[in-house]
Amino acid sequence: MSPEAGILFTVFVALTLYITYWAGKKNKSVESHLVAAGSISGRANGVAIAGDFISAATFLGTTGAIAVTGFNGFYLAVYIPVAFLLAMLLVAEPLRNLGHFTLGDVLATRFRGDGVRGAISISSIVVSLLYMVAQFVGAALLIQLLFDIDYVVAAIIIGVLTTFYTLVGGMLATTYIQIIKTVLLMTAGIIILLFVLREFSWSPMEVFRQAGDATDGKSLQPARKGTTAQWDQFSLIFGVTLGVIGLPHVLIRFLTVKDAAAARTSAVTAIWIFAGFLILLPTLSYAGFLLIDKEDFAATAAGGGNMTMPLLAAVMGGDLLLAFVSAVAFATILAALSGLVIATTGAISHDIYGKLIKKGIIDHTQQLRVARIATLSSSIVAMLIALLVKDQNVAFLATLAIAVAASANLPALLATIYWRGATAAGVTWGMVAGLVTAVSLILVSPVINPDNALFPLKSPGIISIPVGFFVMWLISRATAAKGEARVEADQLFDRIRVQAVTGVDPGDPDSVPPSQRIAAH
Amino acid sequence: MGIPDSRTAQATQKYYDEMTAARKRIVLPTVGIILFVFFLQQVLTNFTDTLDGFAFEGMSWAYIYAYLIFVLVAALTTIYARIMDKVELENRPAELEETAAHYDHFEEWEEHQASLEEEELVRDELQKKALADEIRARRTHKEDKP
Repeated sequence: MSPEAGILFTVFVALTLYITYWAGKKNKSVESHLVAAGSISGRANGVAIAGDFISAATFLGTTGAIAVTGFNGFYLAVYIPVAFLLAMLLVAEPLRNLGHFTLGDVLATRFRGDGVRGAISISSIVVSLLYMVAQFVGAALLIQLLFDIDYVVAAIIIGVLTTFYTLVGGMLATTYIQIIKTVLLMTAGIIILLFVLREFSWSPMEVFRQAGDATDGKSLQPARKGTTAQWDQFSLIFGVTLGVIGLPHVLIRFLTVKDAAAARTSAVTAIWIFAGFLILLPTLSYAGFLLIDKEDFAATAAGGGNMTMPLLAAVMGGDLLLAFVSAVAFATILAALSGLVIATTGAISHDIYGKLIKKGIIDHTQQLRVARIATLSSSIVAMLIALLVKDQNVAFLATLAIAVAASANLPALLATIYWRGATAAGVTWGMVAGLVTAVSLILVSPVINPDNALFPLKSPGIISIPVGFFVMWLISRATAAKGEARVEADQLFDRIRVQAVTGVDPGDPDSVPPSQRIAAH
Repeated sequence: MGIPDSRTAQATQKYYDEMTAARKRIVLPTVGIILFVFFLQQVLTNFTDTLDGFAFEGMSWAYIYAYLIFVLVAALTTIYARIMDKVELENRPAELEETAAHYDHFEEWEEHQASLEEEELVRDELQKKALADEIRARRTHKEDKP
């Protein structure tokens, strides 16, 4: 580690520890631990949501993919604002109005038995853990590369810091660390862009023109590498676009604001940040391709190009800028992992322990204690798995997590909010079918069996998402309520519709809007 | 549905009707437009060579289409948010405005509620007093008349 990197790394860690200390003083309730007691403003939450997706995978992975594969790498940026626009239109406001701590709460407003809550909480834990392990391993490898330290040491440093932030500071610290990281990352991107533009007569078009000249135009055109690869690409983008709307760690961020209007503001802010920042990535990527030493670029390209941005930073601004980018990458990883830990914590402590095991009969202190134990356990489990699988290629786990989110959580969420005909059995079996199909297809895909795959695509979304929706529809039809039960189910759905829009359940005279719900808890 | 009789529920009926009407008008077309435009890009670039050409040196049609998606998303987001903010501002009942989340402790929220109730009582008293004064004044006025 260079002295510059050491100093910046220490400054960042000190800053995040201070935020955790500050948040820790407020983090005295389960509401604060899981959803920051609804106290985050719409704008601040929007920056944090943007931070979840302007991550190391985007800043290092997508830029690397564009530099190495050309236009096709940009698919991984374009889907993000599209997915969040869909999230804003379809789920953000209803989620805030119906939800409390977790996705389980949202579904349980309509389907009150244990089955649906159990299924969504297990699905949420699976998605968050898979995602967390993928992030953990990727993070440790990246830190090993950036700071030249051992993998095990890197994993332990990340694990200990993440545990501390989430355990002490809860969702409040997690959100503010994510906000600081987003600002730092965008600052790093803009600084590198200014250095780059200085080299190209202050014209982004010149970067594109030179990249086109160097590759005979190929890097600026879509690449089609055979039918299977094309369908794989389509399936990946289909899965990740819809998957965002089912990712628990993203969706619970809409529960950290006071009302639906603030949830809408969060989405608008995040989308504008995406639109403003992601649009810059091709310029940075092609500049990396043009300016980095050919040997160095070939070395990173062989591994997917993840080091393109750090190498470009070193070429443009020397060791200091490289150190800044490395520190920002480190911050990115910690912020993303912290959000995932909180999402897992909510599903374990609130849904499984509080509602399913204790049937809601659990006092406030006990609930907070269980939440903290769940936080500690999920961080440690993810770290241990990351240490165990350090020699395995686990990048596919992130794709799998998003595929499960899209195939299991998304149909359940949309049906609960919008489809009168949905039944508890339909929603539960739809989730099971989506989850099982996504996991099974990955197990028989080229990811696990490169030479002997039964399913030709690496991304299962194109099959598993329709399966999740179809099974939910089929079972709901087969188990549709009749007679008086039908009238009751219809009345409950009507109440849910009103609550999804206004925040108040018209069938319950004691019902209060979400902003008051937290205080009254 | 007809909202049962409760103070907050009554106040939210109009709010619900207006918000639902606005959402119906805007959400479906917007979802349709963005899904069509986005997946059309996927089909055109993945399975055809329609967007392989160059609009001018250094800028392929594929990139122009991708950048237009960003512009479209930003525009649709802004339109949706503006319409919904306006409908919300005009129709959101005052009963839903109080935000307990602003209070760190539930006791503070209860104190705030108690102070609101006290204010209401004081206001009632003042109104009663004003009414009594007015009646007295009218009586005096009548008595003064010959």
